[in-house]
Amino acid sequence: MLLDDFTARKIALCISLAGIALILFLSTTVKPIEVKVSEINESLENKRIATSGIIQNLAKTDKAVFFSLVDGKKIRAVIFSPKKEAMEVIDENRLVKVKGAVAKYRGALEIIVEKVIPID
Amino acid sequence: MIELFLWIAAGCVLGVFTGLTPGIHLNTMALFVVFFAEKGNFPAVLLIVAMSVMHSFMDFIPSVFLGAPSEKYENERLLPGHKLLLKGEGLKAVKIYSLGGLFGIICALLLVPALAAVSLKWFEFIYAAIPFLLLSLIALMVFSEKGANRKIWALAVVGLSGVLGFIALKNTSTENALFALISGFFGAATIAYSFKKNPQIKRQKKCSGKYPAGKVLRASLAGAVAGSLVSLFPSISSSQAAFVAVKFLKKISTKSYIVLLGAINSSNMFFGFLVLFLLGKARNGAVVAVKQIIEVNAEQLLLIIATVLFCSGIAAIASEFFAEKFAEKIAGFDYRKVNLAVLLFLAFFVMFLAGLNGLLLFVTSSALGIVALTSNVKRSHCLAFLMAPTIAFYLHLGF
Repeated sequence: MLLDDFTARKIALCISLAGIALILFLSTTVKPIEVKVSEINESLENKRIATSGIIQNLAKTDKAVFFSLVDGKKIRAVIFSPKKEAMEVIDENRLVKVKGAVAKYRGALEIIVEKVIPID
Repeated sequence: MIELFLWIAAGCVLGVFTGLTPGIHLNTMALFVVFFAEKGNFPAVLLIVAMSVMHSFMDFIPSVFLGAPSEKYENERLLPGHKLLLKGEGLKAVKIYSLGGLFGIICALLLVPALAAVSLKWFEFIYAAIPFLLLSLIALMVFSEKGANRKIWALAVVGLSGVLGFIALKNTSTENALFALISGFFGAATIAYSFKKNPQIKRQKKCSGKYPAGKVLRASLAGAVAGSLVSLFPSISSSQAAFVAVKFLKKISTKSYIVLLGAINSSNMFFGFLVLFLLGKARNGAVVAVKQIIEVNAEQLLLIIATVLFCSGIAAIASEFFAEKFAEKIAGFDYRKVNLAVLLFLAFFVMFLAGLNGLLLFVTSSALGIVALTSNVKRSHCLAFLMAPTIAFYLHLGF
């Protein structure tokens, strides 16, 4: 049986809308993996994680914020285009929980931070 | 010296493999090379350069010989390579594409001083203009569609592709999301749609044509200029660069368009390495791989340029050879079975690299590609999946 273009388009449109809805649903419901900074390794690359630590070596530019997250071990973290709420939370030596994705930059792992929550 | 040639030869072999095998992307192989190469290993960089050159010539061959719909398909909706394939001129398509690739490299060399001057002097301006240029390009492409109905469908494809790209690329747990999306939009959609028609592929004519030098030079020069745009601005594809170039060239024949495409792809690859040296910016996967291995200095740039020139000549000859092999095999096979095998291979490879999430992206992007095909609008609208997140990033809209 051959479909005409009109029917094929309707089916394809339904599949693409359903796919987008499902991807959106999965991306909002999948919880990040809770880990300690010392447990972050290459197996977590590209995965969403949540971890806690103290902010050190804070550096701010107009397009990004960089800092080290320290809990005995340390990892570099970066927030691109930080929102005002995040800027209010970020401060040197402050204990925070961050959520974001682990990525590799110039051979070293770092966290691309999506959310910062103050703990203290 | 012999050692360097061996690395380059290995790159050429890998480039033939990535170019001719649907679904095996140059970037995937470049990342494998980075994984095994030590920091500062310059011969590995030349391997990546050779592989990129060979790939840029070879990947046109499967795009000509696979996924073609029937002759009854509306002529204006056919890809230029498929137009010639259905006339039995698939080999000619590959030959003129290679010609465009070669002349594109030569024109790109001539344009080096201009590109260097523009990119160094206007870098801040270019950087600031990126989101507005991308938005203008999307608007221009949507409004270039004929009739209100097509414009609406083009807008729908742009909107849905943009949303899909935004969600998929923001959710970085989706490994190899880019690969899954590109394979779906531009690979699987064409092949799946071709099942609807039953193409009869003619035996391909031996190619012995002469091409007007003026037309080839004009299209190659336009291609090199357009290729420089692709290398400067992120998320612009060669088909969009061709769209812009055609606006300036006005009326252009299918053959000249193929020359233009060849020139855009080869010059973009060449300019990619130049922009890395000049600005430290990587605009494609192979250049990202090079950046991870070395910080390019002037002497190394000259060796990279020499490798590009050397491999371009080999690639032009090799592409003709492999196109003949492809044409011979295609004539003997059931075309539907070949397409089905390629589609299954793509799905399997996406699943292998990107898991179930990737497969979901693959199916969704394939369906959107089919929406574009059945709506008679350009498939390059689907590139909004990459442009939307790029615009959001440059406008600081939470990406």
